[in-house]
Amino acid sequence: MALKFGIEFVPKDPYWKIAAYAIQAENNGFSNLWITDHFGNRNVYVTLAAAALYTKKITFGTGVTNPWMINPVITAQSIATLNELAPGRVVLGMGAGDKTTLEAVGVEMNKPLAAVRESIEIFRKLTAGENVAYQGEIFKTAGAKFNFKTKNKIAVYVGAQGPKMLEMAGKIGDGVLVNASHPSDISFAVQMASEGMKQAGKSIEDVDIAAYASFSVNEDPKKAVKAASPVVAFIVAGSPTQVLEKHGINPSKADEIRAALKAGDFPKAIGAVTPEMINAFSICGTPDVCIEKIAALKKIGIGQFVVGSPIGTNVKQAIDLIGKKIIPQFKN
Amino acid sequence: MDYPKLVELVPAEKWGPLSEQLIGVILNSKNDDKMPNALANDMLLQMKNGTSGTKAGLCVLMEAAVLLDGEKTVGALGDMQLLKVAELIVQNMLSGEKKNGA
Repeated sequence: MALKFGIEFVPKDPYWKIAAYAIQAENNGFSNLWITDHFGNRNVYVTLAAAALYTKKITFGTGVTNPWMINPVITAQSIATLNELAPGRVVLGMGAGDKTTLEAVGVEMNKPLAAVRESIEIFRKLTAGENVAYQGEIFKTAGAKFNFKTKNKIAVYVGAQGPKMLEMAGKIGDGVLVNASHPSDISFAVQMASEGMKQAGKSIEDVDIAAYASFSVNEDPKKAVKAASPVVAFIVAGSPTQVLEKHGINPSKADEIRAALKAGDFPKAIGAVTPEMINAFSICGTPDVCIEKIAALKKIGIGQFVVGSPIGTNVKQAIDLIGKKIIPQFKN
Repeated sequence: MDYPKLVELVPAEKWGPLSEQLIGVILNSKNDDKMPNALANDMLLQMKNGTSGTKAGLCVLMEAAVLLDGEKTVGALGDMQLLKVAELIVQNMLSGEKKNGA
């Protein structure tokens, strides 16, 4: 079975730049576009609307939004309206969100499993045209209903990393977005998600498991590493000790990076990134190296590989390179 | 600048490669705030319709590229041996600087 390729963009760039990259990605064989949702950047739905208007066939969605920043009924309304701009090409990506980001705006990350599950239930009921009287642990509605019809079922991808969220994602999701790139992490994710699938009477063919990976490709491997290092520095800084140790990374090295980032000394933080860190938290290198690493993930059971930041030293050239040399290797 | 006249100076066999070069200049530019919305939307429409490598598409791309990064645009034109086009753009940029008192 062919492996699908997705691509992630962060709307720190204006709508027209992301739409231009989306057109280019579509022309290069990517099937999915994911736009991150962070209050400090431009609005995810406006950015997706621009992408919807200027593309023809690529499937797109939030990569990912969370249940707290926006009430789930408005998330459902936004996605359903996007589906009118590009019928059948829209998906919802929903996850627990980032604790630090939520705290920055005074939002408590309360009971993430329940919040994600309930927001998805509300989303599905509303987009199915139901009058929703919902009494959840986190969310309550007293007769919410759209005044318009959603013409098709919209797939829901659940962003998941921890074992319980992965299990739930397999159980209730049409897809799972796993923020990882190392085979051992993906293997664990597939195993946990499969547990959830079993509970729901589903198989791995029913759920699109996507590896959402930090990615950097260049014909010159040194340039690929140089582009990946800043992103990996932030991933390492945000990783718990057990995750670092699992990948054979000395936690004191991570402390060094955290301290440098905190002091605003980015060159020092980036300089402290080791090859082990690059290997654990990104897919990085020449097209051939990337093909080998993606093939290993496909073998484990992913159905989609999402090319995440930084993509390459030059994003346009990297998209062309992926379309020309990498995607064709996974057509069958 | 009269972009349709400039595009007339580009041989047809270079339209496609030049459009790719100019899109590269535009997307790699850090001067996002110099891009007028109407021009951005025109560019996206040309890209969506696959007409960036036509005369009309090149007019839009050249205008956007010059606005966002004149020097890199001239460099890209030079790399493609479109020296007359590059020269006219430089002249226009210089006369613009004079008008602005630079």
